[in-house]
Amino acid sequence: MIAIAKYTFLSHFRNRIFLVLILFGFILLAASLLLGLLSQEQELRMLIDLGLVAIEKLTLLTSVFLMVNLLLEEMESKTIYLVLTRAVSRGEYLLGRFLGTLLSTFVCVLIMVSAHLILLVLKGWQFEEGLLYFLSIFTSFEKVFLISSLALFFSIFSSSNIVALTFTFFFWVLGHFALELKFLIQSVQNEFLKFFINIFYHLIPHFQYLNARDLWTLFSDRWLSLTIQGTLYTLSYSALAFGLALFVFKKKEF
Amino acid sequence: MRCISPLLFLTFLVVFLSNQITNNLKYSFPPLTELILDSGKDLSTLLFGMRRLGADMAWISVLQYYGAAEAEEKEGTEFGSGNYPSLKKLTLRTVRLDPSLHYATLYGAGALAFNLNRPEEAIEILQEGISRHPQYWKFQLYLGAILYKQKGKFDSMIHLLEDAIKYPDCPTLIKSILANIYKENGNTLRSLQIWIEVYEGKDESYREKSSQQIEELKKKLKINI
Repeated sequence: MIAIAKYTFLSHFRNRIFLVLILFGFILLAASLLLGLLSQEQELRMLIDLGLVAIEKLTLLTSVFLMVNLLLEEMESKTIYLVLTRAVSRGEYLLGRFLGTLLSTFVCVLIMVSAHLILLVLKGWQFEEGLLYFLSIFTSFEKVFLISSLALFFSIFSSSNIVALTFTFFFWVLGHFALELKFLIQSVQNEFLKFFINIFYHLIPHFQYLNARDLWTLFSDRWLSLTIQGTLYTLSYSALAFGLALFVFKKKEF
Repeated sequence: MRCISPLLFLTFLVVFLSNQITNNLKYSFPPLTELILDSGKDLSTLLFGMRRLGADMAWISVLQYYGAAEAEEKEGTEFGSGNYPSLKKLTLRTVRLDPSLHYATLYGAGALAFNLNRPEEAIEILQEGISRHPQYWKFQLYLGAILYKQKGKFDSMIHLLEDAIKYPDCPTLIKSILANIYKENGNTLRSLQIWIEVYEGKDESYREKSSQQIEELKKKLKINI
């Protein structure tokens, strides 16, 4: 399993990750020049916000695309047979591929954060609210971790990268809109419909609650309890999605 | 069945934790129905979990709106002294996206009350800020200064504004307003001191204007430095 994870990590890094890092560098440079002119006294806040969003979205895109194509490409080229005919169980194979991809995404995040911090320090940031900055990065990675496990499940379940990508991004948007669903529950009169929406509300991933970047004020007061709850939630949801992916993968005939 | 039981357990765990998080977290943002949405642009920032960045972009549009000359504005008119009828709406759009952007509330209220002479609109913005963040006392400070202005108690207003400009998060706009009030009231020396502070501050957009004011006030005071 570790060998598979290591192979996956190296192959991702050789092939695609650097393109994302170059793109991130360009976004940061362009943003720093533009925001310096436009934002007057709020330049640092905007640079922090833009950097955090850029890190999250580029990590999301990288991870989801890698995860969706992870097995589908091997299934199409039939190279998956070579591995599965060896003494490697399907569970070990899937976990190795999953963790290898997440590790490469994580290293990508670390490089982007370093570049972002260098820019912020050059612009005079003295790590005010530094804890919240790092919490935002951490919870962003949790969101990517969670959605990646869902992307893996959708890719195995649907056997089509278009369908898997559509479902994944649908869940991403829905997860950020969970609060509006809660609002809808309160306004619905029909008890049966209310119950149904309530179940749906608890089953969709609550990305909005993992969004320390947007919940900056709330996290500054209760960062420890919110981070612990968020992490437990991410781990259990990801384990569920991975478990479902494994369940389908074991039943799959190649 | 051996495979299903851990999945069922995880499902219950997810629902339990989701319930815990929902109960423990008091979401402080205004609901969707209260937002002033700009042609779907703001909605897309909410859909992709970028509320804070959406507020930043909305804030830039306030600065562009208030920083640009109005069509009917005559040459030589003071900066930001047109009508700007949408300033309140644009400021509220920003602070409803992210109520923690206190700077926008202070800036919008200050511009409306002291530059555009529309204190009622400024008070509305400040009251909304106070209702969401009652612990942020600077809103009360600004509100006090505006109420004194309305009642014509200029000395009390100046006293509160002097307090306000001591803080690093005070918008440069407020400093420039106070400097102009002193200038009009004949306190040229204090006006000069504030303009020097503005010139030495971080906001580059005020550099040229503060430099002009400093020169003018120095001549008035016959200072040759």
